[in-house]
Amino acid sequence: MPLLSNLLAKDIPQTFQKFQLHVYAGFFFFGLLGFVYLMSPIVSRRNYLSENALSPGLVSNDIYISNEHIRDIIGQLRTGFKEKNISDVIQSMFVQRGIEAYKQNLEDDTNDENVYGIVRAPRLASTESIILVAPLYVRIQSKSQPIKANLYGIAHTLAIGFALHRKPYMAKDIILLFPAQQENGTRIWLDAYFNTKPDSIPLDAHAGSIQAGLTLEFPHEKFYSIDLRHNGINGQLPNLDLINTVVHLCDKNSIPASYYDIYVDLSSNELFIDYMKKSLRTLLINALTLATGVPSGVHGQFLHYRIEMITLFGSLTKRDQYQTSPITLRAFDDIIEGFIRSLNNLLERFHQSFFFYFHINRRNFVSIATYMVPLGLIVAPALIRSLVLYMSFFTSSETSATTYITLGRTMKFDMNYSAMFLEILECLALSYVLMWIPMKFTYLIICQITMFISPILLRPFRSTERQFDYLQFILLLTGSALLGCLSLLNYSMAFLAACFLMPCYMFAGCSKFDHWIIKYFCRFLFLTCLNPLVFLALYHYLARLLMAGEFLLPNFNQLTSDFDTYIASYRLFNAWTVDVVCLAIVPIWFLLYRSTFWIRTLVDKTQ
Amino acid sequence: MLNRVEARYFGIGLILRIFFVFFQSTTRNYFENSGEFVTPLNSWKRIIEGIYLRQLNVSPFLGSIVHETPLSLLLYTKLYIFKDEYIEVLFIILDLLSAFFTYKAAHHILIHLYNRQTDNKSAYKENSKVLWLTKDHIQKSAHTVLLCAMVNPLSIGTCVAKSSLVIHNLLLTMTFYFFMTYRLIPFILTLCLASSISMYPIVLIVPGLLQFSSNANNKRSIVRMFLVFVLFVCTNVTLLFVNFHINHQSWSFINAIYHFIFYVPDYTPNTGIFWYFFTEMFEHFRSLFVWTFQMHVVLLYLFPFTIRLRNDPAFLFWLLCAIFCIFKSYPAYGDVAFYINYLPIWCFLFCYVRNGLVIVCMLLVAMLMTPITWYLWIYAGSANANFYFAMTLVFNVAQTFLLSDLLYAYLKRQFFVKNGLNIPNINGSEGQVEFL
Repeated sequence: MPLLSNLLAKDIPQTFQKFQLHVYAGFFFFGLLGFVYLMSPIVSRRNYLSENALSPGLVSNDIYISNEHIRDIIGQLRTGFKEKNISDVIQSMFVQRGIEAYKQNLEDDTNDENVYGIVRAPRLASTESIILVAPLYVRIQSKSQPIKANLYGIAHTLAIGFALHRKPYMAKDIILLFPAQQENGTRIWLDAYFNTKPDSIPLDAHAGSIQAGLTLEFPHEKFYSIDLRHNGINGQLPNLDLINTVVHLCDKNSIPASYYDIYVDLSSNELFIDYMKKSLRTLLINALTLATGVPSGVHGQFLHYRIEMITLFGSLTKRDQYQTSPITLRAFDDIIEGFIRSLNNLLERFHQSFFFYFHINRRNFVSIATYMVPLGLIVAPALIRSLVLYMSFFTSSETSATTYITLGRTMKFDMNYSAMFLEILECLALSYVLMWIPMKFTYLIICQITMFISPILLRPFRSTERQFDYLQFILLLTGSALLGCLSLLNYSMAFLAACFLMPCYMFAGCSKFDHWIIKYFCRFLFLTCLNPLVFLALYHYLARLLMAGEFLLPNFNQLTSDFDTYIASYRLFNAWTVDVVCLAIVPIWFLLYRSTFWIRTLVDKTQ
Repeated sequence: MLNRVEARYFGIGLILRIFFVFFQSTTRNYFENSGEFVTPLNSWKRIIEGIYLRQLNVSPFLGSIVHETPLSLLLYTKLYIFKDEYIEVLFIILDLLSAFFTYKAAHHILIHLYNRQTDNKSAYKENSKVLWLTKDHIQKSAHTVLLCAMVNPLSIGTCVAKSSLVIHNLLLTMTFYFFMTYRLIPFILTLCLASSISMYPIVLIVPGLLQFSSNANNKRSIVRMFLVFVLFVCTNVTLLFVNFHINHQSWSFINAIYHFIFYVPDYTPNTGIFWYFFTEMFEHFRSLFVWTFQMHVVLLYLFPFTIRLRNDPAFLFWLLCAIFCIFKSYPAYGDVAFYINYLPIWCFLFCYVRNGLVIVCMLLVAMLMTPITWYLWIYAGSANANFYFAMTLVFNVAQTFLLSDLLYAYLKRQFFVKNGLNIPNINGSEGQVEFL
């Protein structure tokens, strides 16, 4: 079966040749529309618990924690925070109740300490465990006070730990971890726990292999709803079953749960148009935040070690006009207890449900099979175009009246690889060298300007039309391979990269036409719309608009400061977003930009 | 010794290897730990373990760690007196040496093809001149082979991973070189050494018999064939006994090497097809399928190809190498690199390769996606073994496409050279040529 063996330029229908650009643009826009269409109730699926073992824990509760008890703990914690010895306070509280507790020094000049206690399971040897994490301090969205003590979260974690101590049904250890310095402390603790860094000092005690867990961030004394945060490092997500367990428990206890602070009332009270708007907002914020590769809480560090985890954040926003009183203590403790007892039943690691999904609201999600289609449509033009170019390179025979003289598939032209190779090398080298300078927004602008004037300084690519096509063919294949690989690792990033690169490909291809207006128009587009920094600014503006949910004016200072904090923090998270952008996406864009300066030579000089 | 082009290519290869070995410790770690480059048969870590066991007077072949022959282990023990930093230099040197032999072998193959063409020119049709090899083509292709061996990422990866495949490939390349230069004794010796390490090269004696049995007038004599075969068997037996004596008169290495290669007890994922198939299979069918798989590699293609390509021993040799490199029980990228490096020799066949784009895309996708699916499976936990296996399957299917296409192209070219390029015009389109 000769695949594609007879494909030659003459096999392409003439009408297709004529409408190529329209077809490609059509694919692109259908892809974009398709992505937006993912919010529709027709394509999204209602979530369900795939793992049966999780359901029994949703049924009944038997722990009762009194208000006085919590108040007592909070009182002790408060003095601890005030006297800066919070880790000692927590440790002594554990020890008083006969629970083993340890401290870990972060080994830096701040002298901060992680505290963790292990509630051993009475039923079994420590083979498996569940982890509850309450960071000592939590980031909150307020200008005056960026971080706040996680009083309520720590108090509840402790109370639950105390209550479950010596409960006969517990078959898994419970680790209660209170990391200092949010992500940093968590990471140091995890490195020590799993001994991944050769120089880290091993921890004093270990529990069984950690199956899953929950992070509690409750800085306020009272809260009206829970915000679920699930973004992990590099677009990684926790297993959908874990999230569904929490959502089921929230629904059972009538606690409104939201993603990205967007709450969808799923009863029939809500207008359909509002439902659609909120779904779209959730979907877009989801894609935009996952693309950064930075997690939305300390749970991201745990996902890195295959510990499924999400963060619950106590939000002050009221979700309903009739909601006057805050969430009761009882309801909240029921969630944590139900969660722990569900996990306690679990026999295997989370593996059944989805790992690749997009939430559009707390009850509906889009699975990988559906959301890959829009990306496929967006990337399809690259593949079709490369095939068309490939077909035009070959000829098979010389025809005479009676006989064919067959030549096999021979290339119509002699390829001069060295010029092309040099061009690619030049672009790669230049973009890598420029990426070595420190990542600051202002420096990036200098980078951009250097790139823009580089075709004037360095000799642009000179070749015949065929060789230009060949370069385009290689770039198209590389680009689609890159996007394909990215789509499995971090779909959102692949989607954004495709939205940016595909128009670049189209206009770089258009610069083949000799008319000077077209050439200048393409260059102009590359300078303005198809410029990575402009795309970044657009991205930032869109993300801000969606997060705020109301109209905002673009703010350049905000962009630079956000970018600088992002660059400063992303190394901590083990993210590779910036590396992929610098090492792969920018070089491809740069090659495409330079190809608009291509100079046609009628005959190859080397021949 | 080297002319300018060769020196330049060697320089490129040397710089690339030094860069990756000494300046890219993360990349080096990745290569050393990746299952695509390192298999139980050729992992340097296991060899070090074997050296230590040997020095402690414990048999290295107890347990399932070391799978090298006692002879090669002895050699590595001698080499290991160089300390850690120098061992990498040694690997680079051996890899470059192997590239040099590849280049020389390629040169000899091309000259051989050219000479045969000159001899048979009278039988060729005049209008097939476009298909004929030219003097210019010989040098160009040989240089491309050298460049390919120097920059091939698979070769570089194998060298950086310190896989002992570098040494196996050197032996095999030398075999190919001695095969092309008609040196019987070195050929038999290197072939026996290579097959004592990895078993599969034993099939290469068949092209060897064809090559060394012909006399000056290109007639084959059964007697010579028999003598070569006897020599081969004797050398093999001698090698076995040498190994036996080095191993303190114990046959335990047979189990650790040949049984290990043949019965595939180790399921560590690699780029081959064995591991997944045998993890999925019920134990009681094992013997049947082990034999089926191994006979598929060793025997199934051997006789048909030998009969059809009896007059083209160079192509036959290369084809058999490629087949066992693809289908062997523990393949690594280094095996693929071995035969891919020779590919530019056959560039005069590329016009009849039908699935070029498909093959290149499949290889590209498989090589890019294998580490990604591995990451998703092992680290992120969001994918499973099927994803990884799918990619290795794509990789193997692409290679089989490549081989079958090249074989087809080789035969098609032969036909056209003998019968001319004219194809009858049947109903306004060119008549199709069936596989001959």
